[in-house]
Order: sequence, then structure tokens, then C-alpha cells
Amino acid sequence: MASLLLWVLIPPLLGFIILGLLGRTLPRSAILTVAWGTVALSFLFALSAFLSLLGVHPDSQRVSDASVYTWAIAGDLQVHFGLLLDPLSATMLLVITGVGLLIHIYSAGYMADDPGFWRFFSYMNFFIFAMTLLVSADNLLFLLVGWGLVGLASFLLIGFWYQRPAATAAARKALVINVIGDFGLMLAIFLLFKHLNTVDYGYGGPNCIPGTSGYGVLTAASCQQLGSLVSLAIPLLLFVACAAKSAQLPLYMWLPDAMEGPTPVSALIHAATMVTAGVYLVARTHVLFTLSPYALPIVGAIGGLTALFAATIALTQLDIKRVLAYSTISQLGYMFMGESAGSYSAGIFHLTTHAYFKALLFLGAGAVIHALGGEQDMREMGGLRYRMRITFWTFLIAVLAISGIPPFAGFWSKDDILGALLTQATSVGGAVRYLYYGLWGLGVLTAGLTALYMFRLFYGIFMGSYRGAGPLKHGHAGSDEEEEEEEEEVITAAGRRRRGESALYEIYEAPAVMTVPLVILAILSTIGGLVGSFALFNYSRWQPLNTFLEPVLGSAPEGNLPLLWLSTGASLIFALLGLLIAWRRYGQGFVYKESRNPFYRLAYNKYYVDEIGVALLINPLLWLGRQASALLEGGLLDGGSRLVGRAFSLLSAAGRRLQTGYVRNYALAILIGVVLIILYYVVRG
Amino acid sequence: MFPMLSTIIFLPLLGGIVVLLLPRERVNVIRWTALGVAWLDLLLALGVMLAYAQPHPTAITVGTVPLVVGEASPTVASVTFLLQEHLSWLPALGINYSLGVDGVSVLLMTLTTLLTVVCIAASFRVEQKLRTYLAFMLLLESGLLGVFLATNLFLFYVFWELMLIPAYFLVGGWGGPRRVYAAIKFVLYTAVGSFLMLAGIIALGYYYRTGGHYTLDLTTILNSSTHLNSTVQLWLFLAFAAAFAVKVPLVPFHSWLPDAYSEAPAPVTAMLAGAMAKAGAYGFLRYCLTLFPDAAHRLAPLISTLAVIGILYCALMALVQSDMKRLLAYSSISHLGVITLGIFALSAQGLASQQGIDGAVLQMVNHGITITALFLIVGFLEARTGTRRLEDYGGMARRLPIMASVLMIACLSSLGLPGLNSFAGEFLALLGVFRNNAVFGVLGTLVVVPAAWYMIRLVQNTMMGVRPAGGPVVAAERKGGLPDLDIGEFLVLLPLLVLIFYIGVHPLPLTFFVEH
Repeated sequence: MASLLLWVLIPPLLGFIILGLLGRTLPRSAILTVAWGTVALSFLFALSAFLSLLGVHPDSQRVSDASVYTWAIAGDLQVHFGLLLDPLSATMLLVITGVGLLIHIYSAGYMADDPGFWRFFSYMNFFIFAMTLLVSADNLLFLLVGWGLVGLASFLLIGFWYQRPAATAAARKALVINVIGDFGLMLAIFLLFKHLNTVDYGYGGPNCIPGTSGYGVLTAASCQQLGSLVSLAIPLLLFVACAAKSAQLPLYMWLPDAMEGPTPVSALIHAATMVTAGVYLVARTHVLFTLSPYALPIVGAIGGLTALFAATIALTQLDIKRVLAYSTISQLGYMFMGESAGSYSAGIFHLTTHAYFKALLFLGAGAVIHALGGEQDMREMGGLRYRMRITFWTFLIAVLAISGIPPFAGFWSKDDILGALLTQATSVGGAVRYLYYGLWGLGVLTAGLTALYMFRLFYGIFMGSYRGAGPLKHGHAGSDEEEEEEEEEVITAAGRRRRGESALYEIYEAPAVMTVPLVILAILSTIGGLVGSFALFNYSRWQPLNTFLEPVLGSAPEGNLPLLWLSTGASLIFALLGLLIAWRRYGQGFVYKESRNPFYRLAYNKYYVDEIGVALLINPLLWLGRQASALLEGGLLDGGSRLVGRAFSLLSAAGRRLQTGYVRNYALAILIGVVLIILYYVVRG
Repeated sequence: MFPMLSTIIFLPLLGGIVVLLLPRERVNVIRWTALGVAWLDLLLALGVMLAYAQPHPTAITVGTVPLVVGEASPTVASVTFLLQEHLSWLPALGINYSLGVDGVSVLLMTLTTLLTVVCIAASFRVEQKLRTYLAFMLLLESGLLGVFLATNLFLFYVFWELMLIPAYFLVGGWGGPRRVYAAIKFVLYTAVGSFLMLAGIIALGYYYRTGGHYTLDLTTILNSSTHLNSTVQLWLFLAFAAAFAVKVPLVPFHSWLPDAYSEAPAPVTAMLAGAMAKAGAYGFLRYCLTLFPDAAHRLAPLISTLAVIGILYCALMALVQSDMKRLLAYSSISHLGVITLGIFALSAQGLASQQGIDGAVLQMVNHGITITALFLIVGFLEARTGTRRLEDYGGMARRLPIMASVLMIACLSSLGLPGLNSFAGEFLALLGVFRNNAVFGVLGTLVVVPAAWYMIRLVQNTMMGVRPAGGPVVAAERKGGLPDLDIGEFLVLLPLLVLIFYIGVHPLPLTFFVEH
């Protein structure tokens, strides 16, 4: 059964190879056939894998592992490339290929005018391959392979418009920070192998005998005694990888910059799928996170701080994609909070609903940017509801969903997380309790902030009257051809642009190829929450996703009803409060006012984290390198070698004087020598 | 039995002589003869490799190497040499002509023959004193192959020095403006190390003498019951290590390398970095580790410390270079540090780590493939524009899309992207290191971060961004245009690219050779 997954992996890989090698020569229709067709095939196979899993009873048997080939054998290390089909990987695959397919379709419209059309789709196919590999691998090494390859795909797509300095800088930043995560993951694998002698996950129940079929890090870890230091180090190292990939403090800095990539990329990679890999990893290896009592609280604390921190920045940003980027960071923090409460399925649930509504938000923002010819600044928008009806309505649904307004998808998953946090706070003892209370408070507060900044964005784009000057003539693409000349053209075009209502009529709704995915995602954002828990209504039999994931993730702690209602009520009140403030402030249209408020300035400038990092870390390092290059390499080592050479040549120059060629001198030397020898023996006696 | 290994070693030498005898004007005949010889040698080496991969009924385990300190050694690793050839030369001095292959040397032999084919094919643009150049390249191949195949220490030394001579002339004769300085520095550094090793070899023969005869045959020594006391081992280890540490090189014995690599013509640099640097690592593995296990155990922390310093320090150096070849030179030292670290990943009992050794050997092959590709691409780029400074470039991907893709792949391989070849080697080596010493493991693994940074810097500063107005690149474009990789250049790089992918996806065959 797991071998079905091979057919999920192969089509996008083939698509990447075909487009990468031949894409330049293919017509657009052929490129789209390959790109869409491969992802559609992949989706169909993922769907059939999912359905075949549903057909298996009892639930605990819903796991299948297929070894494809042996990657390497080195001493006692054996690594096989194997695929694991279980409820968790099936869920992830559905989200990845499903949302991936919608975004592939959308991209045909968004990227229509880009000269790098074929390159874009080959990279996108490659990403789908890498991401499906990441979630379907049955061991940590191939997880790491997928982990690295999605990082590469992200690098290639952020830097897609490679002639823009900002895009290449952002791509570099993303790659280097992601490699820090790879570093953590590698060390975690080393540590696990050192103590457990395997890199496989293991499956089929606890099986503690090395070498047997079910033996792996997830099974062995639970029955093997690891020291307290090791059992804390393993989850923390894994979490370093998660923090880098899923943009958590302090490794989040790359994600806002990653918005330099084309918007469909931001939707697919930097919102819906790749950045959730960390959430997936925690869920997948949750056994390891429970080894140490400190691991999950640390994850929760980082997630909670990130959620709040990013939300405050999102409140102040003017670039619509940056608002969404910080919102993604914040929501990812939410997912980690849910997982830290032991409710991994809540984290995965929020992952899926977030994939719908955040992809929708980005694609909607993309439609706006597309219509405005590349404009991303909220100050140049407004009033677009008149011209972009479909985008407007779908965007509204996504905003309601992310703000946690019932009955949209985000409400259910967010509620699940907050309920789990409060349940955890009331059920654990000791000081950790206060942490979870704190996290719950952070979550509720963030829910309010989320509604506030999302409606600020919504009003800014669609309501009020139009503030801009019509679409930029340039097109959104930092186009491949003749960049130098075009830069000037843009400036003159901007100078001639008209402002106000008349310019609004130059703006058109996106073509159907873009709006159809918006509508589908809007439907998912509306009803996608229904697979979640209905425990709130004391109807605990209806929780399909939880039940489905339970064989992998275990059952989440049960909360009691009044507590859940308290949590729901609080978060709903905060969300409505946020909505209200946004309406009061921006309901008549977004007005930008320069603010002198120091807190505002601080958040607007992203707390100066980038600047501090450059000043404290990057610049000193490069300075050190340059100094060492000049002083150590040039001065000490090269100079030292020269000095030794010089010393030898001086020495031999001195020695050469003795070789006069006169016999009388040599005779004299012999005489002195003989005299000395005689003297020596005389003295010695 | 047919002297297969001798044929492989001396075929290039003979080919070189033939090339010298060809008429000067027949440039194409000269080129194709040299390339043909290199190809033939590669085919022979591949034949040996295939034969080695078969289950060998005639295998004679000629020695067991205690990898455990002290006499009571429960674990022994056997060293099996195949296709042995043995001719008495000066038996009283222990000097014999003996050759043999094991899994490690069969890989390095094949790598050397492959890289020679690639580098000779990449040298088709060389015009100045073509015959001599190609003869030296082939002689270099002979020397390298001898180093990897010799099983007598004196013979090893002869080949070791033989390898130096063509390298010296190639750097000094065909290099850039500072080539003479670079060549002399290279030779002096290497020679000092070699002479210490020669002293060590003589002493070793003396200690293992039997009945008044010196013994220098590796197989005899490994089978001998003589156990050197640890002080002797220490000094002999250091004498051997002097030669290897310069060749690899270990920091701080590396000062010759950036000069030599950046001054030599690109194909020669590729040979030096791709194949010759492996001779040092091979020496550590074959001689220092097996002949002097006690000393290796005692000195492993020292060597590992130097390796770790080299890994991180040279990564930092690579980060601030503006000359592309110097950047690659420092990256090369940094990566070789990982190999050394893997070789010396000894456990607390002095046992070598199987993952460490496997990873190190795998990485020798991988680094040979990747760094050769990188130096050749940079050479192709330099041939078009006449500059190696990163600041002069930018936005080349639009003009040179194929070259940009190839450079990208090579850089990704070099930075250890999972799924490509270097990842497999580095992962195994560092895993071995980490198991036995977490501190070295963590510090060694840390290199992936700066490695990603400087390699991406190389790709982005050349291929991406915006081309600076004016400067040599624009001048070159005005003069002759900037053609993308031509079919010949692409074919030169193709085998390397295929291997980058193949080994990354399926390294099993290579680890098989190391373990058998």
C-alpha cells in the first residue's frame, strides 16, 4: 500500500526533469500540461492512498511501510529509502498535493507574462516532489533529504527573479538560516543513532528489539533509558530545525524577506506547506518530545512568544504580503502552542485549515497585486471591492476564517488549540501550569490581534475609496529581459500616473484560471473546519480528523465542557474586539498616518532584529575573516614562509664565503681542525 | 598473471613519451592521443573495479590490522590486497616493487583515471607547449596511481616524489602571473614534509628488519609480530604525518595551497585538488592509522583539533575571498578537514569508526568530483572574461544559462545538499565523528552553515543580480560575446554531473568497496 506513495513522488519529479531540461523549447500549453498533469496525478495517487487507508480496519492497522532500495550500509548503519503511509502522512500529502494543484493552476494566470514561465513551473514541480518526499519518508535521513530539498526549492523560488538584488539577498538569507536548521536536524539524527543505533522511525507498536522490523527511533525511545541531558537535547535539536523551517523565534527572519518571490510561491511554500514542515516534524516525532518534561513547555513558550511577537509586527506593516508573512509566522506559533499542550492533532488540524485560508489570502493578495501591476503597498489601494468582486468575497471569507469567526475553518482549529492549552493548564501540576495559563492568555490575545490586523488589511485593500494611480505599467515581474532599460521606464510611467477614481477603472478582476482556485479555497476555508472536533457541543463522536490521526498521534487530553466554552468565549470576544477596533479605525478606508509612538516605530521596524543581527553577528564575522585573511594568511603564514626562505638564503650566502677556492684557505681550515682535535684529546686526557 | 596494476600505472607514462615524440604541428593528433591514453587507462581501471566487485575466490587476506591499542586486540580489520604484483628490487634494503589494490585504493585509482580524462579533455584550449603540458599531465597521473597502488613503502615514496615533479612544472610553467612564486612555495612545503617521511620510512624498515634485512613491504609489516613501542610509534607517526599534513593540507601547513591552486591553470588545479589532495588523506588512512595505531590513538585529538580548526577557519576564509579560485581553494581545505576528521574518528578504545572511514573515503571521491567540476567551470568562465574577481561579475545567468545551472549544481553538491553526493560522505563521516567525540562532531558539522553561505555567494555574485556597468566582463562581451558552455565543455563536465547525482541518490556501491 505504501508503494502507492512512490507514484505520488514520481510524477512531480518527472515534471521537474522534463521542464528543467526541455522547458525552454516547449510551448506554454505543453508546459502547463506537464506541470498541472504531474501534480494532478500526484494528487490522485495521494487521494487513493488516503482512501485505501480509510478502508483498513481496525484503525491501529492503518500503517504501511515499503522499502524501495538500500541507500547505504556503513558499519552498523543501514539506511533504506522507504515510504511510510499512515494517517499523518496521508493527511499531509492530501494537503500538499491538493493545495499545490490549486496553486499550480492559479500560477498559470499569475505568471502568464513572465519570460521564466517554464523555469517557474519546473521549480514548483520540484518543490512538490521535495515536500512529498519529506512527509512520506520512513526514516529521519530521508526526512532530512526532503528537508534540504524543500529548502532548495524555496531558495530557487524566492530568488526566482534573480536579477533583483533584494530577491537574491532574500534567497540567500533563507537558505543560510534553513541550513542552520539542517545542522540541528543532523545533530539530532547523530544523537539518536549514537544512542539507539537506528535512523528509522519504526512502526507497528513498541518494539524494543534492535534489528526487528518495527524497531526505530520512535519505538525504541519509549522503552530505552536515555540520560536526562540526551533526552532533552534530542527534542531541542529537532526543534532548532523546526524553528528554522517554520520561522519561529529566533530564526524567523528569513520568512518576511521571502516575500520577494512570486506570490504563488509565497502561498504554496511560505504559507501553506513548507513552513509547516516543522509542525509536521514535531507531530511525527512527538514521542521524542515527551521524553523530557522540559521539551514541550519550551516548544510552547517559543511558539507563544513568536505568535504574539509576529502579530504585533503585522499590525504595522504596509506591504500586504509582509502583513501576511508575519501573520503566517504568528499562526505557526499557534500550531506549536497546540502541540506543546500534547494535542498534536490540534496542531495538524490548524495546519490544514491554515493551509486553506492562508493560501487563499496569499492568492487573493496575488490577484490584487496582479491587477495593480505589481503594487504591494496598502497606501496605494482601497476601494477594490468594486472592481474585483470574486477576490473581494473570497478574501473576506479567508479573513473571517483566520480571525476565528464561526463557522469558518479557522475558528474550529484555533478553538481546538486554545481549548487544549487551557485543559493542559488545569490538568498538569507544578509551575508548568502557569506557563500554560500564560500561553492560553497569549493565544487569546493573539487571536484578538489577528482579527485586528487582518481586518486592517481587508479594509485597506477593498474598502473606502481608491487611493492609488492605476496599475503599474511595468507588470509585476522583475522581468528577465533587459532589466536596465526598463527600470527607467517605470519611473517615467509612475510620474504620469493619474490618481483617484478614474484610475480605478483600469483595474480588472483576475482571469478565471486564477479565480477558480480562489473559489475552491474559499469553500474549503468555510467548511474545512468541520472535520475537527465537535467536543464543544458535547458531541464527541464527531471528530473525524482526531480519530483518524489517533493511531499516530495518540489521543489528546479530554477537556471538560465549561472550560472549553470559557476558552471559546474568551477568544471569540477578543476576535470580535479586534474586528471592532479595525472597523472603527479603518472601516471608512485605510489612512496612513506617520506615527511617532516609539512602540509603533519599534514594531514597524520589526524590532530592529535584522539590523541587530547584522551588526552583532554578520559584520563582526566578516571583519574577523578579512583581518585573518590579511594578517594570518598574508602576514603570518605567507610572510613566515618567506622569512624562513630568506633566513636559509642568508645562511647559505654566509656559508658560500667559506668556499673561496684557494687551496691555502682550505689547508688553513684543515690545520685548525687538526689542532682542535688534538686539543680535545689532550684536554680529555 | 598479467601485471594489470603496472599497466594501469605506466600506461600514462608511456603515453606521455609518445605524445612528446609526435610532431609539434599535429595539434589535434597530440590532444586526441593524450585523451585516448587517459581513456584507455580509465577503462582498465573500471575493469579492475568491476572485477573487484565480484565475489573474489582468489582473495588472500594478507594481513590483519589491529585497530585496537595494545596487544590484546579482540577486533581486527583485515586488509586484503588483490591483484598483487611483486618483484624483488633491493631485498637487503627491503625495497621491492610490490603493488596491490584494496577497496579504498580501487576507488581512488578509478577516481584518478576519471579526473585525468576530464582534465585532459578540459585542456584542449591549451596551446603553449602543448606536448610537454600533456606529457606532464599523464606523468602526474602515473605518479598518483603509483601512490594509491604501491604496497611497498619505498615504492610509495618514489611515486610520492614522482607526483611532485610534473605538478611543479605544471604550476610553474603554465600558471598565472605569480606562478613561479606559487610553484616554488608548493615544492618547498611539500619537499620538507616528504623528507621527514623518508626518514620515517627508513626508520620503519629498520625497526621491522628481519635477519639483517630491512622490511618495507606493507603486507609483511602488517603480518609481523613486532610491536613498536609507543614512543617510536609517536615519532614515526609524526614523520609520516608531516608529509600527509602538508599534502591534505591541515592548517597551519596549508599556506602553499591557495597560491598554487589560484595560480595553476584550471585543469591542473582540478587535478591537484581533485586527485592529489586525496593522496594525503589516503596516506593518513593507509599508513598512519594502520602502522601506528597507538600513536594514532594518542594523536587523534591533536589531528582532529587541527582538522576542526581548519574546517571552520578556512570556511571563514572562503567567505571573504573575492578571487573565485582562492574561494574554492579555501573551501577545499575546509572540506578535506571533514575527511581527516572522519579518518581519525577513533573511539575511546582507539577503534576506528566504520562510518567515519566509509564517509571519509566516500568524501574523498565526492570531493574529487565536485571540486574538479567547480574549478573547471571557474576556468571556463575565466577563459571568457579574463577575470576571477567576484566583483566583476553579476547577472551572468541570462547570458550563460547552462553554465549557471551547472555551476549551481556543483555548488549545491559542495555545500552538502542532501540528495547530492557530498551529503552522503559528509553525513557518514560526521556521524562517525560524533559517535566517538561529540565536541568534534558538533564543530565539524557546524561547517554546513558557512559552506552554504560562501557557495551561494559564489553562485549569486557571478550568475545572479545585475552585471556591473563597465569592467572586464562587459569588455569581453563587446569583444567576442559571451558564449555559453559549448558542447565540448559540457561533455567534459557531464560525467561529473552524472556522478554528483548518482552517488547522492545511491552511495551504496561506494560504501561496499570501502567495506570489502
